[in-house]
Amino acid sequence: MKNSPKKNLTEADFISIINVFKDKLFRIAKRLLVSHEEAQDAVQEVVLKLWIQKDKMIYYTNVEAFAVTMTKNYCLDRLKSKQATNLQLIHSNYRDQHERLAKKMEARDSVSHLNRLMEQLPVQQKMIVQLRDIEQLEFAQIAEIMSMTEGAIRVALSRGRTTLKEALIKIHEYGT
Amino acid sequence: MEHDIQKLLDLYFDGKTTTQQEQQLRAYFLGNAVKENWMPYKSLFVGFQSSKKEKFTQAIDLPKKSRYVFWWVSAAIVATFIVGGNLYKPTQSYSEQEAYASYAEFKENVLLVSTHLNQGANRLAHLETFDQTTTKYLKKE
Repeated sequence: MKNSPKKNLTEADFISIINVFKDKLFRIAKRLLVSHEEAQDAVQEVVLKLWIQKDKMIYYTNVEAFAVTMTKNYCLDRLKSKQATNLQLIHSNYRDQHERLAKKMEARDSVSHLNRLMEQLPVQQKMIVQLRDIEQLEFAQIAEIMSMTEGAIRVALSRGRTTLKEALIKIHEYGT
Repeated sequence: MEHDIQKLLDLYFDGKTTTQQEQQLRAYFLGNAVKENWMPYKSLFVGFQSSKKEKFTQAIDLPKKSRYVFWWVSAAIVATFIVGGNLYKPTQSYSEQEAYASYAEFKENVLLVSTHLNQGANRLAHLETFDQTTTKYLKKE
């Protein structure tokens, strides 16, 4: 996305820029934080930060990649602070219940299945699979967002995809 | 066809596919009935596709307007204090005098009420004798 070098960005201009990728930010935040509400808060927070520095936004060559990076960093910080407190304990309790429940479910709903499988991936692979296979970004963009080389991205992507594949094959064998 | 797809799948799981090749895979698995042992792949691509549909439904709230309101309100409060402070000083001696005057007036009124009350209380003394005499009769009966 390129912006013409205007001096002042109006609120309407800003919103229309945000509207292009706000869903993407939300999906990424939800992928990392799992909770719907927390993901919404994350998006509002990132948008607010962008709004505060909106005058600098004109100079960014790619606002979207910048916003995605901000979202990623915000969510990783949230996860870290969660781990520091005993919220993690609550979360793991919840997860146990969640898994038990999910096991009872039939192996038909591919979305919820995939979401659960992706939850188990390491954060880096989770992010890269999200950016490539769901958001369909180019490797160069993903490399920029993750501050990794394209080669490293491809390696992580391969691992993530393979883990998902193997898990789905297992489900398919036992599930039907 | 299936042979090509198998090749693409191998590349895909090695992380070596191009954007175009991934598009081909997506089109195939979303559009076609696939053979039994490819069902896991189908659910993978279907899952990705469905995940992409999730939307951010909240309204974006920007603080701009409320922030201006905040500044105006705080400016108004500060102005009130400054103006109020200036007005208060000269009126202080005047209102002090007035307060003393009304205090004196109030004192006078209260004294008046008090004397009347005392008079009333003295008259109540008669009630006591009345009370004593009645109880005398009541006890006798």
